[in-house]
Amino acid sequence: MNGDRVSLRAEDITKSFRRGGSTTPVLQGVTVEVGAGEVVSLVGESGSGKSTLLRCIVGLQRPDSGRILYRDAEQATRAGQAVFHREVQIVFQDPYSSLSPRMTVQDIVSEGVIVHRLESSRRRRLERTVEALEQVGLSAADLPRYPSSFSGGQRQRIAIARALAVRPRILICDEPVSALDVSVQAQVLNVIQSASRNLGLGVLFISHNLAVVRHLSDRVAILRDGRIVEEGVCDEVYASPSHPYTKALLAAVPVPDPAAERRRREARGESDPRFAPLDEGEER
Amino acid sequence: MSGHEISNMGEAAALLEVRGLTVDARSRAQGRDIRIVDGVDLTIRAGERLAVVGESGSGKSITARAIMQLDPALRLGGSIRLQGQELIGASARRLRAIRSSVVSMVFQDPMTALNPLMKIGDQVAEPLRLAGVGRREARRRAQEMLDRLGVPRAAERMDAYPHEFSGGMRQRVVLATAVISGPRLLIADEPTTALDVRIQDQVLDLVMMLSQQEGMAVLLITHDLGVVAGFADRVTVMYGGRIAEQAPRDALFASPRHPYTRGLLASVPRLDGGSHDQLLPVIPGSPAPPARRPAGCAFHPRCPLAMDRCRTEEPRLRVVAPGVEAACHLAGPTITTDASGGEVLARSRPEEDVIA
Repeated sequence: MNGDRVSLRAEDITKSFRRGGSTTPVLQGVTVEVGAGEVVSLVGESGSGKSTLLRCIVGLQRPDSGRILYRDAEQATRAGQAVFHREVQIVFQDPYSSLSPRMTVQDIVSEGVIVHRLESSRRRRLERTVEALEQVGLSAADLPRYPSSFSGGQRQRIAIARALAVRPRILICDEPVSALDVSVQAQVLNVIQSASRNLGLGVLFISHNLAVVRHLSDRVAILRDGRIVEEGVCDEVYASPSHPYTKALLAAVPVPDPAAERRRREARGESDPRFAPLDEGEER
Repeated sequence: MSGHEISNMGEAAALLEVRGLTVDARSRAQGRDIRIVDGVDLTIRAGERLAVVGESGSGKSITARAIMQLDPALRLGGSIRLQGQELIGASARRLRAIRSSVVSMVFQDPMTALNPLMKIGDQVAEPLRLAGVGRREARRRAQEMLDRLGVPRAAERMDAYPHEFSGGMRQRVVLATAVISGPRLLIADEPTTALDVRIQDQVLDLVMMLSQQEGMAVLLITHDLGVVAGFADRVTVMYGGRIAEQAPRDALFASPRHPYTRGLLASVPRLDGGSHDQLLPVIPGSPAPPARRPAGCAFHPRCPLAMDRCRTEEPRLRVVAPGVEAACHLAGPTITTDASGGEVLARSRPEEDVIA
């Protein structure tokens, strides 16, 4: 691996899916980059291509063209891949299917440490596992327990501990709170935010929840129909969105405050909801 | 429950009155009955929009489904009166009549709510056909309703099938089917949760439009406080199978009385939120499933204000301000709150003090 600048960059990614005789372009030249210590969010509605992009980045799918660069190098060599797979970790949306029900918390969280041979002694491995659990607000007492004895929010924190145990530099989070109860989402968001701030992790946060994205992100990219229509510093994009699609998205987010909701509805303008503009995709 | 009496006095304005509703489910794993809903009182007046807010295990969906009596395996107790008529223990025939004319329901997933093999127009017209309306007239009214709900080129699309429609369009069709026979109450269980944010906004606007134009009452089940703020006249917050707080919308958001409500309002990231360098205030722990509902106040293990009394004595829902009820030993004139909401939540409880 050359280059000490820690960054994950997906460059000019295109991807199409063929079905029958027709080809559907899903990604049409998408570039995103995450550096150390920053949270970059990728926002998109269903069908925007955000999941496909994620799959391309982690190698579950091969893009038609474009490059995935980590530390300024492509993942061509086996050695390069090993570094990539250790330093770039993922947290998935559904903590009920992403943890094996037959493994204990200790097995789950230490697995990466074992696979990547990061600690030689059993004692050090255990220490590292406990450290990761403590980073997400769990403890050594949880080591022998199985996922089934944890709630959704706790499971998601176990999934984050599994990622943190290998001391990654980049954490990819795919809708990490959308399957969780409202009252536990904040716990998980705080863990992700702390990991970025305190451990210097770069976070690529994939979400459709614009309020969550605003809270968490340094930069944001808005994905629509396989293209990034707007990107920039999060506060700036939210304060003055320039693309009409971004404006429409932001205008549609309800705010938990009756007065603000009234203002939003007035500002949005359409008095007759029947004539609210439809997406092109809407008419299929 | 005698069932058939119709009371005109005093309750004339109440469209739906739920009193002391309990719902028990047989748990095969535990070999005993589990109380999923534990004594819920709800009132909806004609034309009113009530939002019931809660998370998984709160009993919000089961309460709604109990009103429709959709789950015959569940044992219901207490009283559910619709237009003065008792529904619990009512005959299947009478329930069918009520479900077809007075109350209808919309579910979360618009795909499973529609018959994939039946044309859109026929599905929307079906309730009218069952009520004895002629085919031609039923189709005419179905098309009118689709048009009214913003389905473009409704006339052409009467003969389309559900798979030809997007999620938002399907939910419009479901809505049309639910309201075509002019119900007085629409129960909507997370109707927009599966939809993208812009479509969610449109569908809610349509429900609001119907409610206003037809004077149709709506019981909206949701977990989204933002949706509640724009939609509801009154709000019921449920936790652990019980009502935690019930208040007019503005009062609930301005001064939430129950620590759970305050915690929720404080912990949800907002689009108009302030500095995002700080961690969110959190409610520690997770909601307990009904089978393991804590003794006393169900929220006490997560409550920053819990006292000994909360662990043993279940707080009753009582009036704590005009129109506002809360089930908390501490709520009321003794701890009045300010609008900032979550100040009672300590920021540094051990569980959230993560990543040192």
